[in-house]
Amino acid sequence: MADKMREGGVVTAGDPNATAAGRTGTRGHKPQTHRAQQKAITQGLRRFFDSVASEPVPDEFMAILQKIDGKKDADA
Amino acid sequence: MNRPLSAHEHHEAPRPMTKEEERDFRNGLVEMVPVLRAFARSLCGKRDLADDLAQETLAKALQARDKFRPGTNLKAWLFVILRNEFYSNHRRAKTVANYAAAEGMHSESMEPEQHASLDLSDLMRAFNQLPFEQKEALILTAGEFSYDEAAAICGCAVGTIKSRVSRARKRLESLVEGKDGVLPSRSEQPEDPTDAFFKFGRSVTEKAHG
Repeated sequence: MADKMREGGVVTAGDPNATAAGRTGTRGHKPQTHRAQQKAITQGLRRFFDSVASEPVPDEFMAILQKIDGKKDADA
Repeated sequence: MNRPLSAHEHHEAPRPMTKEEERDFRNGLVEMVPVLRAFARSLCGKRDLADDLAQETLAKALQARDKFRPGTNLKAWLFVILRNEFYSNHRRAKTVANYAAAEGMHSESMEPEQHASLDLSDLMRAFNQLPFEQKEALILTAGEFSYDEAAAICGCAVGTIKSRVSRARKRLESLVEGKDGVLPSRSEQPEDPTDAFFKFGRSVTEKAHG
């Protein structure tokens, strides 16, 4: 029993359902899977953000960029 | 006008920038164009609307440059302006309709490259279904800013940002996992995105005026 409890890792003594409950997160995933999924979500959003940020700046930004450069009336 | 945040409206007497500071400021604006485009795209989904928003932000920033305090976080200052522009644009009927059409739709401008462990196309379609306040909390904290900085940008408590991120992640996870039944199919548009949008738009307006 002691070995089994160590195997389970999150077993609470005296609770026969603890192994199943502790091992599974929402929708029957292990907590590790849940954490991996959360990490994948954050990384995915980051990847999306970075992919937009690495696009070449479109030509339509030229007018405002020239204003910023002071080549046109900067106070317009 | 009641704005959700006024980080660029410090009440301390603004002083004109020195020539060197102004040069740094202008260089800084140019450097920030890519991240402003990315933040705008995250919020409004559609490429053309997002790029308009990014350009409006740059124009406002240039006009308001005397309100920027050299040495403080330019990126955060710009994100506040972008966010204010985005939320005040909501109150303009025409733009509202455009954003409503973009909201929740699968759009090619949101199409990311594929990733081995998670279908990013599914993720971004799910992301588009989140309320704006959850989208911005997620995006801001996904790498650009700390929770504290995100809270300052959004004009709310750190705990609020944390809870929005947590709720958004849970929602995304369940949307991505249960995609067969929950996510709109890739070719399908939401039945009536306008309804949900106007509900949200009202709550933003009420909050801003309340």
